[in-house]
Amino acid sequence: MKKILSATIATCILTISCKKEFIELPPISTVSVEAVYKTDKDFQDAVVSVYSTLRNQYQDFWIYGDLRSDDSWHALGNDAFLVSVNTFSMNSSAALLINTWRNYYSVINRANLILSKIERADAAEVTNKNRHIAEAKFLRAIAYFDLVRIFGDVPMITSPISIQDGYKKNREKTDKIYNDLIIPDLLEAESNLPVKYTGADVGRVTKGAARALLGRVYLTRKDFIKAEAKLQEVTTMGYAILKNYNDLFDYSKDEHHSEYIFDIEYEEGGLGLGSGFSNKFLPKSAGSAADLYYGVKGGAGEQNTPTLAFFDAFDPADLRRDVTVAKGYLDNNGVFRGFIQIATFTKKYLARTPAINDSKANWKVIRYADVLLMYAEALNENGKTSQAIPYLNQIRTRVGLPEHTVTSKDEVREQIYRERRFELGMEGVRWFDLVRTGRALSVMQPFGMKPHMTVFPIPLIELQIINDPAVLAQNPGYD
Amino acid sequence: MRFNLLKSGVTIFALGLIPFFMLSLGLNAQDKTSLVKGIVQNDDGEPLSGVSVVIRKANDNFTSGTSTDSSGVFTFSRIPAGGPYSFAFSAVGHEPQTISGYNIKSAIILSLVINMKRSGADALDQVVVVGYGVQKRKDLTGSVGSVSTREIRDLGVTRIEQGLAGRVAGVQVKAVSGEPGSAPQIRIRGIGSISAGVGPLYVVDGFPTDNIQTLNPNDIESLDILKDASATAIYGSRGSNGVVIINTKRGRSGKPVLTFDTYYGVQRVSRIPKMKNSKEQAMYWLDGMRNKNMDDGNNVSGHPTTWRQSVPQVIMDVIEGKNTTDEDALDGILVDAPQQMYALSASGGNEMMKYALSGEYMKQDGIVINSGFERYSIRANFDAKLTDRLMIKLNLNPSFTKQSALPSTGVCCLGSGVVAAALNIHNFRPLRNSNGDYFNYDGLPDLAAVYNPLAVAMETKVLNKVTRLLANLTAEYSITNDLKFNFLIGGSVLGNKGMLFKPQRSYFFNDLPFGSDNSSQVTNWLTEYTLNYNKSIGKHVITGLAGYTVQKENGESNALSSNRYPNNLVPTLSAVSGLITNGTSNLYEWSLLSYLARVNYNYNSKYYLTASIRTDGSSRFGTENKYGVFPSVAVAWRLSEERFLKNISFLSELKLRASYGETGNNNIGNYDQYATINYETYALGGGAISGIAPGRIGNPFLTWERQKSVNAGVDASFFNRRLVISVDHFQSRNTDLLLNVNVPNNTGFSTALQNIGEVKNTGWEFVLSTVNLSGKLFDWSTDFNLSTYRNKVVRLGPKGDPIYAGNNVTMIGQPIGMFYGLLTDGIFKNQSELAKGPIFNPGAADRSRVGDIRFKDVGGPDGKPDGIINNFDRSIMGSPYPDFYYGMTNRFTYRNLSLSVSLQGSKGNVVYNLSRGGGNSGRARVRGYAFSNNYWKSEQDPGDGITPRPNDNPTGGVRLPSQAFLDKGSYMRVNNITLGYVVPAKISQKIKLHSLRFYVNATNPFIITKNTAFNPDASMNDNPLSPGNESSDYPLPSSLLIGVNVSF
Repeated sequence: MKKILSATIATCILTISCKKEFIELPPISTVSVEAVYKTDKDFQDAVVSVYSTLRNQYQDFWIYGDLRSDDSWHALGNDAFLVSVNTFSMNSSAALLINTWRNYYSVINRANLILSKIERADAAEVTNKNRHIAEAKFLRAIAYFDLVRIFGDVPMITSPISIQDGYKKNREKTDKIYNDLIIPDLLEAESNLPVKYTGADVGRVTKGAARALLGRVYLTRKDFIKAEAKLQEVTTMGYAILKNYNDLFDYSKDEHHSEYIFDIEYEEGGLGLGSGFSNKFLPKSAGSAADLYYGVKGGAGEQNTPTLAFFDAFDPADLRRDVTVAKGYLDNNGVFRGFIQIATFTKKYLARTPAINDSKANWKVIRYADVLLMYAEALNENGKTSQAIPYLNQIRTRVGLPEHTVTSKDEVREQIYRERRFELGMEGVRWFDLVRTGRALSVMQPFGMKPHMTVFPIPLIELQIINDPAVLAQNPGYD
Repeated sequence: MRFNLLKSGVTIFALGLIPFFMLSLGLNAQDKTSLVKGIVQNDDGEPLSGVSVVIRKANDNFTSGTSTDSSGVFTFSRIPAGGPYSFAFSAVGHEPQTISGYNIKSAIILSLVINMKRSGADALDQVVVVGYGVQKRKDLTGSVGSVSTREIRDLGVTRIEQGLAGRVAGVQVKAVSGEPGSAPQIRIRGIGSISAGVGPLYVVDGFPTDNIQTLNPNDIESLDILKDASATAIYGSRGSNGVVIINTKRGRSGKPVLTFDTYYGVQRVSRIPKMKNSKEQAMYWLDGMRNKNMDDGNNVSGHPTTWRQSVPQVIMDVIEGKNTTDEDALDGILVDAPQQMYALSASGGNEMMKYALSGEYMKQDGIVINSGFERYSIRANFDAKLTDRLMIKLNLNPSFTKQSALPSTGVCCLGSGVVAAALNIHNFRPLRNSNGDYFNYDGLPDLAAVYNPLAVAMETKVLNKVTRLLANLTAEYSITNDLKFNFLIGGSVLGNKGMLFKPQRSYFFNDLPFGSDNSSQVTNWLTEYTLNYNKSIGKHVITGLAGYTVQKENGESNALSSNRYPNNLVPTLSAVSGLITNGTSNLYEWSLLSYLARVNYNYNSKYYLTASIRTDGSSRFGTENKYGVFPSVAVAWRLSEERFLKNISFLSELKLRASYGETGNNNIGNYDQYATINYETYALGGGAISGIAPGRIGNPFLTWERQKSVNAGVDASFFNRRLVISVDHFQSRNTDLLLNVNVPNNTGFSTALQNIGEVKNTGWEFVLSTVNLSGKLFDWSTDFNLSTYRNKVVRLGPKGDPIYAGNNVTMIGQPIGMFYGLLTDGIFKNQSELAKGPIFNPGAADRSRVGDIRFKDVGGPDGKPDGIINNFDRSIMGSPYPDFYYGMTNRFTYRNLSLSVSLQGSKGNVVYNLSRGGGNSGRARVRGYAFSNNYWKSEQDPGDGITPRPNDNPTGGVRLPSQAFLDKGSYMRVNNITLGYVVPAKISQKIKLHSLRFYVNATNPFIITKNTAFNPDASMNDNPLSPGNESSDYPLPSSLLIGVNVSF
């Protein structure tokens, strides 16, 4: 008996004596932030997670770039939100808006955390310090570039912030964001990024990507002088357009070819890295055709349908037409079959897809053909119309179209705009081109666009959270 | 010989000589003494053990006492012949009885059979199990509800929680799912938390746990529900949602008793919603497409198949009578399902060693085809008295459960639940083709793509197996007569194994085959040291408790899955040759270290004082907030003991109670205080490259949620306890609620965890128990309870931002999770009504048109109605909380027959029917409910004025969350009707049985409700932020069971 008692008392004392440790149990299956952001590998991993946020965001980029424009519509009509994008009746409470806002600010804050932690890091230990900084800055710049193009003035956050700080972040003028952040970030990225990567780094941002994006930024700013200079540099870096336009969308081939500059990377294989484009853009009417003819499993979403008007606008001889706006598909016997209800679909994202939303089709952020057309545009705007024409014709001859000859600056401008629509159709460029060149309202008015709709509404949830119009107010016209 | 006795109309049979007894006795006929032998039974004819029996002979002061053994038998040997003798019987929970007038003749055995009647529902001497101890009901200062095993043993419940339904005031039990093995949703006294869990703590034989799925309901001896903070504060940081204390049956000394219990029955779906038949659905389709074409300005004069947006031929075939198929897919997936249980138990022992052993097998097939739940469990409870001062108790409870689960819920479409899909399929699209194959619902022009629900049920495998060992050992050492030391060590090992396989089939859209394999193991151990002091000095009674306890849990889990199966032949991951496409494993642990103390004092059973305190330290709390202190105090005054009330003859008992206490809720996540890293990947160089990023914002101040609560109550009984009334009022305030607070998304996060919310609950509870009739042969008693609570959010995040969760909103000044959306005001019946507005999205393609819902214009950008329907017009549109809920049980006994009818109800709440979203909001691409058949057809035929027009491209905002999706939530359901018959002891003992009892039980036989879906008790998840959402949940079964209890 005494033994039992003394044994229990002993256990008692034992457990009491170690009580502090007994109730201090740090996580086992994860680590805290403080434990990382120290080594070169840590920063390399941290940069990867910035890309991965962009991967989420670019799953939806087509809604902004194409669905909002005259090239595409939600023909199926069963998704009220997508219809509201078409009809310019989008509600500020739409989940897409807050997701976009959060995704970009997640990119920005992850980049900011890297930039603040790496500042104090020892360059001897963090051997690729400059490259990590350059990548983080590039990714932060592209996030802000998209944000200002989608929402207009937005809060400019350049270092890690607390929740309390978040409530005080005013909208900053887009001019300031371009001048103080986007352009300097890209310039720094340009100087420190490598020209090329190999092996497991292929897909990261490069010097060429920074230059090409800078060109696009300058063009958006109508700073044609700087745009011309920067884009000219890109033309000297060894990029070349592919011989065959359709090869750009042949996913059995490597997507990192001579025309590739910067893609958001997707990979199949059930790893959560796939894109949804192949499923989402395929028409439902294709039904099992999706699987049988295109190897796209998991069903068709029919969310993003190129318009019949877009089809009609193509020159019938244009080799780009079928892949951009297809009117049917060839069955196993090579017989062309059209669809009953839905007239058109795009074949630009038809990668073999083993499971739903698990396609390897990348999202092309910027490719060399775009650079050539932008360069042509900058040259033309700078009065170098005759120098611009050959770049425009490079694009046209690839797809079996006759060359242009020199005409007036205004005519060439129109030709370049047209060419951009056909060359880059369904690649997320059209809407931003329309806005950038001031044509949005005239083209989109018939669809319901009003003058204030060159930007999207600020997400309602964020307005409600900040709950202070002096800090964050809705874009005019949406309130 | 027959005696009719005395007080309270009790009937006692003295059956004279029973040969059975004679055989077992060796009598000495020469003595001038004899033997008295008897058996004491309860109302149901079952033997009662531990009944104290005293024999007296008044004229010469002869007295002797004994008590009944485990088979209810008592014996007095060598009782001097003569008389008259009287016998007094008393037992806890039963009315005391005295029988007298017996003469004993030498060498002739007197045999008695005594039926003891149960006393009222809250008999004063009934023992109530409270935290770390027991009390008599009359001595309670707090609010504690009790459910006896007798009330629930016939119900065929597969989980003990189900037995609580409608029985205890302040305990709301919602039968949210009819899936075998699933738990009901239990809320004690309102909703005290927003995100940290709102279910009660369970304490099984002294061992706190959150999983009681593996318990065999037959093993339960008592269920006590601690409701007010003076009762729950002794459980400290785990007490604020209430505590359910479960004790299991223990052995009693006496001859071994073997008991065999079994039931068998059939279940059928209790209620199915009325859906559109083929023709109604086809017309809805046609009209919807016509409206779409008309909206687009297309000509609709030709045949519908030729319209610009054409109607598929399959729809026209139904309308034109060429296709008369009309099969409800629900009929294809719902079946009559058997339910059965077999349990064998043995108990007995002697003063030194007692045992209660049981084994059970239970199998409940599901009413959705191919689902089911099985349990095997064994229990061994031993009590050993090692010395006069040392007592050891050992409980062992291994069990194994197996659940064939089905994905049953989900609103619409891809890969969704069986019930949801069956609800969605048009009646003219039968589940099987004419050749018997599963119909493939992919790529149809008339129906949204959906997995064939019958195929999902039949061809996919979802198995969950749980093995568990629950064990504890108590040593009780009496240091002195007043002071006892208790040591308890307990442990639970819970293993879970799950597997899933879905083959690649056309009816699953040829999706890749998918399989997964997951397992988890949770070990939890507890040690507890308590000192109990118990002393009476004159009229002062004092008991004290002091203790120290630690508990720790370790959990590990892993999951593997793959979609790289080469074929459909082998469902296990062995088939994928190592190509695992997803795998994870996790470890966690938590610990709790506590000190506790309590003092109970009473003076002359008249004035009571209870005070308790507990300190909890936990690994879950942030470094800045490691320990919490939880005090309580309670007083009670039994007025009926006062001299000035003693003479009021009709008053049996009157007690006033008041208490205050502080408790907590520590379900805050094991590591939520830490800013942890998330691992993410990105595709680089054609492969997955891993990355790291902060997963959340850390919070070293993170702590338990606090509750402060007061309770005041009155217990009164009248007319010799034939009328018992109890009223309780409580007010509680929960502060420091853990909230995933919305934070500015410009931080890169949308939410962060903070202790920042506050809610208030106030409520009333009424209990009424009456003995309506008490006669020689016929008894009728009623227990009724009614409860109400009002929940109100006081504080919410730094800025008080509302929390939007689906169709619910949580905002300051309102209860948690109110329904939020547009208010409806009929439909626009004609052009002139439309012209008056208000219009949804004016000018846009989806603007309101004639036939669309007219919403109420309640706001605008500047807070004033602006004639336009948009987000500003959303408001609170209904409450998921009832005005009150209630339960009632009526018991009738007539001779050996007993009948019990119990019901529960809820009044005044609404339900949000997510299942209406598919087919009842304009598009006919999935099947709709029939209640909307009288929809707007034209200005001349506007229908019922409420139901909008169908439209293949819905306009006017009809698909937005609005009152159009709200359904009635009030109901009154008969939970149970049980008819029992005890074979008279005379007969059962002739066939050498102690007792034999038969019963028939009907579960959920009736419901009265205006709800249109399966079950008004809906709640698709346990999240307090989104209560009351219906989502094609697994329907409730009705069942009819026949059962037998035999004891040897």
